[in-house]
Amino acid sequence: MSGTASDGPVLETHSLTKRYRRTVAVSDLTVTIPAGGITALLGPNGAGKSTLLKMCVGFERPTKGGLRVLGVDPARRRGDALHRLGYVPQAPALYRDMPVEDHLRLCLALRPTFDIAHARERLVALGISPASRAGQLSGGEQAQISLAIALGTRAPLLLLDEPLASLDPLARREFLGVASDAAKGGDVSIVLSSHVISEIESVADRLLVLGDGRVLFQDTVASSLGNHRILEDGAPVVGLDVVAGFPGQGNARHLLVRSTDQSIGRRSSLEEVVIGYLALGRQAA
Amino acid sequence: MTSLRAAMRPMRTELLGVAGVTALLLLAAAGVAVRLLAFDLPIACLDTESTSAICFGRQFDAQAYASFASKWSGLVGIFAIALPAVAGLILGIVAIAKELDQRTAVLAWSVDVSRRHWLAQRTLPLLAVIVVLGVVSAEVMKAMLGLQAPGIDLSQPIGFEALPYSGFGPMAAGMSAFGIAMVVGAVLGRLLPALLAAAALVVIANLLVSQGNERLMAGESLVAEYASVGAGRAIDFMLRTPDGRIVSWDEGFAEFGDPMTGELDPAVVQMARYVPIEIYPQVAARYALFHLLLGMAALTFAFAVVERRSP
Repeated sequence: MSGTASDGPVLETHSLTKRYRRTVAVSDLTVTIPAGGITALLGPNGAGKSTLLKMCVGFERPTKGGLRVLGVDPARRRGDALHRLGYVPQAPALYRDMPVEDHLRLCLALRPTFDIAHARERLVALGISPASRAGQLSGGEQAQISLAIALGTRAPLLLLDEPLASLDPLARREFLGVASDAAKGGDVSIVLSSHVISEIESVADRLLVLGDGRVLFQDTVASSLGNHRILEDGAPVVGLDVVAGFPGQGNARHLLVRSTDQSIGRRSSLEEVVIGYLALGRQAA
Repeated sequence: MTSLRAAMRPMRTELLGVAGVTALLLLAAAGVAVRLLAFDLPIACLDTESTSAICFGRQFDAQAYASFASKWSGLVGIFAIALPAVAGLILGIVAIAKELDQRTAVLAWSVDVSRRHWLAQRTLPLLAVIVVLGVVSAEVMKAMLGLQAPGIDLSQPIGFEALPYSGFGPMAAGMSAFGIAMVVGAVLGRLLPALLAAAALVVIANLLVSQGNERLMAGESLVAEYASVGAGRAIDFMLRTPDGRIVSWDEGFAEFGDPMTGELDPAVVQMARYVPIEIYPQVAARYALFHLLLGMAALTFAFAVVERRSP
């Protein structure tokens, strides 16, 4: 298998567009996601996150533009791209009546390089019995099975498509814990799409905010937090680089500004950075 | 668990269902056979008009045998004829439509680096199952025919009506049903609509194959005395006049028939246009080939659709 987490970008798009009849899901998207760590792909529903990941897996074909997953164009060489990635869909794609162990064996039959011992070990560590039928497990456990299968591929890139959406807070944390451990090993890069911003903050290394199929913001989590401040409504903004205003708690209007000056306003949370750029995207639209 | 078992595991319920129905068919056939053999009737006595001494007092048994055989071996026969096509239809739907409908194709298509590999891994064993069912179906039908008419020589063609249930016919029909179900499932991606649409298409395909074969058979027909038609298929009736002309029945009757008695001049010979039974092997091969080609074309199309569609 070629391509590891430390080689070049894991994902590159150039003017990537995906159109479904009248709907434009991804619009002229040009983005580069470097290798290593966890990149959070954030944005509201319909922002194009899932479509982007589905194009990476070869489930959808771009209407226009280019896409490379670890140097491979999945539209032209889907098999080579799939060799390099593991995928966790939004809703676990499991056979309800089939035991977990049979899922792992099926994956081995489908992909001879599948590391069944590694996947099994992950599940046993989480207390998920291989003998359990998938349909009898909770949503969190089913998501963990999907993640274990993706990890069992031993692919250098994992694409996690909104796996947290239907999980309870505890299950989210457990899921993110496993993903984070995998990324810390250094052999795996993870692109995690989500609109649950608060819980991403603790595990993500980079942010990529999409809105209406376009990139609204991209940076490391540390820079995002260090380079932005929040001003309460009514504070003077003259000379400041204001990103956008948005309603804060209690309907007070907040302003997100680009600044490293700690004397200005207060420190922003990651959620506020993301919301600020989403508001900017909406204004631009 | 071998790789094959693992690959077949998602279809276990349907495969067990097919195995169960096949076992039921064999049990039913065995039951009919045991019941009929229990009559212990010599073949000569199955003719209820028989005057043989060994049949004396067994006419009632002969009638009971004939009644039971025509009812139950007929039912088992219908069951046997339908089995490969129905199993092909269900397994074809399960192979793709169920995976798409229940979104489990997402797992397979993201783990397996080749969709062709995924589809081949499940298609080839299912085709083997259909071959086995085709053989079982043909053998059960043969046994039922043998029980219905014990004196019949089943090593020889018994008539063109046997095309769908003898030799490779059932297997080929099962294959075409399987291919059609696969491609319909791949296109529609929904379980119930795919099942209904595929069932309708399988019926249409069977009618088209039969009609196509009938048309070709008509082109291979001969005209001969009706008495020589034998097990061949008569497709038209006519008369040969005393002066050697071949005319239609109506024309011949108007000229040589007696309207009062309805009888023909004894010098007029009844003729028939018929398909000779001697060409049965090539007609049967063509019938099976049509189904096989249809099935293979559908399978090829199914592979192409799977390769391109989203899960």
